[in-house]
Amino acid sequence: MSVAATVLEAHSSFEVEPGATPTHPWVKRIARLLAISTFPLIWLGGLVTTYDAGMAVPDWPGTYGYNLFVYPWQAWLYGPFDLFVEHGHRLLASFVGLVAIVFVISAYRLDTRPLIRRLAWLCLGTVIFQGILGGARVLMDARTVAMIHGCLGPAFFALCVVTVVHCSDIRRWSEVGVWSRWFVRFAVATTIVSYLQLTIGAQLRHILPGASPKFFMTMVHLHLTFAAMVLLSATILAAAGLREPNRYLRRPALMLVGLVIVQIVLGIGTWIVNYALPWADLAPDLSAYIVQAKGYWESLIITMHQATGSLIIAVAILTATRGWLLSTK
Amino acid sequence: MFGGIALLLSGCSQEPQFESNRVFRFRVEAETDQDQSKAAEAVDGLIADWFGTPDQPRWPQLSETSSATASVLQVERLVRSAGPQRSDREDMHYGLYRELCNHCHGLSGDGRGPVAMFLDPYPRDFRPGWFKYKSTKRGSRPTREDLYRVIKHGIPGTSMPSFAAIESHEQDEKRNDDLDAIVDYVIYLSIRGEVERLLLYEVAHDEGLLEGARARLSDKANRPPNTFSGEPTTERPASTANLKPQVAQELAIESTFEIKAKEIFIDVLAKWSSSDSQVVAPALPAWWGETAEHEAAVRSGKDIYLGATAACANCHGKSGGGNGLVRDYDDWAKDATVRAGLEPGDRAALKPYLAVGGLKPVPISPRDLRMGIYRGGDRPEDIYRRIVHGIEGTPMPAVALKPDNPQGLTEDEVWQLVAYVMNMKQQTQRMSASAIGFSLQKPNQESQP
Repeated sequence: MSVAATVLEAHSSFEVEPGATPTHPWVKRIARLLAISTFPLIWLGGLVTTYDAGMAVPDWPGTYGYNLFVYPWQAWLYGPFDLFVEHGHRLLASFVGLVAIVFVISAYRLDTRPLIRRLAWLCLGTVIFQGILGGARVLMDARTVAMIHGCLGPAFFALCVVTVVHCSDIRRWSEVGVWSRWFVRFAVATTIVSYLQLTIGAQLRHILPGASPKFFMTMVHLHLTFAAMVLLSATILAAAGLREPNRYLRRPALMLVGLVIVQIVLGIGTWIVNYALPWADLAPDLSAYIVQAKGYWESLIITMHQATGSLIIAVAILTATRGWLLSTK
Repeated sequence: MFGGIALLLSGCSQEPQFESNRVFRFRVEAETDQDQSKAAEAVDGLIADWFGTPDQPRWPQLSETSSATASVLQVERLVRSAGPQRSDREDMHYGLYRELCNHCHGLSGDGRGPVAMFLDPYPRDFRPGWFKYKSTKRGSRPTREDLYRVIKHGIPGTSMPSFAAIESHEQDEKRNDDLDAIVDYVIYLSIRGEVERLLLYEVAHDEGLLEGARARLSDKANRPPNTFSGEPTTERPASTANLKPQVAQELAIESTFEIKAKEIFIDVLAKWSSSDSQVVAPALPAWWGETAEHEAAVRSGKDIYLGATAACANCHGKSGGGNGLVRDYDDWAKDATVRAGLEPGDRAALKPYLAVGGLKPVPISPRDLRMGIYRGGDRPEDIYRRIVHGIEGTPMPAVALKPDNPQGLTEDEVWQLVAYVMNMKQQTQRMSASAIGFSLQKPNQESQP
């Protein structure tokens, strides 16, 4: 929700002046690097959860007593897979943190607009808080913290995307505005519903060992309900997008509905590779399938489902932010 | 906001506890028509003292059970499966049960993990000590190898996964004992749960024991916290290298209640330690695989399948499609419903049972033999064992055998039945292929009956 608040604030404080100073190319590049490097970080975080590797390194911020950056690379690359994934997640997270610092510096050195500076600080603050949450998850060995950490990651990714859109100066070079304000409203609604769906999915993924079957069942039903809502919302957005003359709005809207369909297929796949076919007798040819716990394809599908969830939020918020900015053109 | 987060985080590191067997208590209360809360409280207290918690497991140490214990499980290895998930630089994994099994089987092995309500069949409840697929006789406990096999290969047609990927990540010549550690923990949970059940049953039906249980309960404040040299700790180890199993000292048995618990524990442990001697090792008949004789056996097997002695068609249907007329429930469903005087299909009557955590009883489906999916294993000897000993905890009975029962089947007739059952899938495939207008047979292959 903080992301939505930032977008609101950003919009209200933005000065619409065709002749306003364009964003410095390096600020743009760094903002893009920040967003691009966050997506693999989400993948890696997903792998950590899939392989239950969160506690493969019991200390933090160091790694087995070493400073994070001087941990012997041979021990990392040739060591156990869980250690490889967890230490790799930390290294990549540190890189993202460093890029966020560089982004703040560049925003102050190369850009004068308060909004870009605010966004840069927000990115840095969020990534630091996310890092502390990751550390708390390890030091407290708490799955609930892992769940919060897992929910904040996609929110940070969305924030990076918002920042990239703001740095893109879309209002300067885009020749066409928004045909209907409803398009923007649907995009915002899709973003909100997608994020809520992700938090429900996180409840299932980070379920506590003592959770009751009823709680899990409720969460599964909620997850299915929200999946339908995301599909509906994305379909309406795509339909509205077809009427939009601006291809920078139309394309992500159409891409979003495609992503949601892929995500639904991945969700069904995630259930099957975790718990087999729900109704084995209905599909005799598939009912002999035996779930391979921690298998390669199984882990890939599960992690892909999580990463695609983040991507949906990112594309939805990209569409919403572009629409928002162009709606005043 | 930070206060809220701190409050949230403070509740994150609470140590999970084994849940009391409320469903069995419900059954005992129905049988005795009395509130058994005090009995259950005393039993839970003793079980916690003897077996510890999910993070800190213990094992009751008695001089007369040391050799039996050694043949059943490695107490020192329980720490590998207990507690939260973690691993170390040597790729040694801990918290294996919580990582791999807890989602379905639940913390106490009660088959009520978070996912349980979605699965059909429900995950196994280890606590009664009933296991379906094993090489031992009905009524016996499975061998360690039986459990290992199920965990490694999974159960086709169910949600039980294969953990072969865990076994295959062994390095060098060192045996990866992750699966052995899980077998240890499953046996630990089963023994713990069965002792809990039987002790509660005894206490509920014996006034003297109930008095002893109450006395232990009130006396507990004055007793030493446990009989173990290693005190339980709620602190989580900073490194897995610091993990040590709790070394047990001889249990102090004082009251009649504790003596009864000890007797039950010894009996339950004896069932597990004697499982190797209960293995049924059938030998394939000489004609198995010999084309002409095997085909003749399949034809004979069909008559046995449809006959009154084996009566397979009653449940599995004449064509083997699992569509017979008998509708029944498994023993896990009946344990606290039928035995508590409830009809498993009566939704209104089941409300109090469901309120204590019982899973909604689901009628058991006889296997569709035409699919060729055998949950207990697809080797001929596996099918032989299912026929001769039935499937424990289910309505699948053991067939009557000669000479014990003059009306029963001979061993050769059982093998003929095995040959027929295993032929059903091929027969169905041939029929399906011919129904859509082509044959899967090679041109020179003769048609089989």
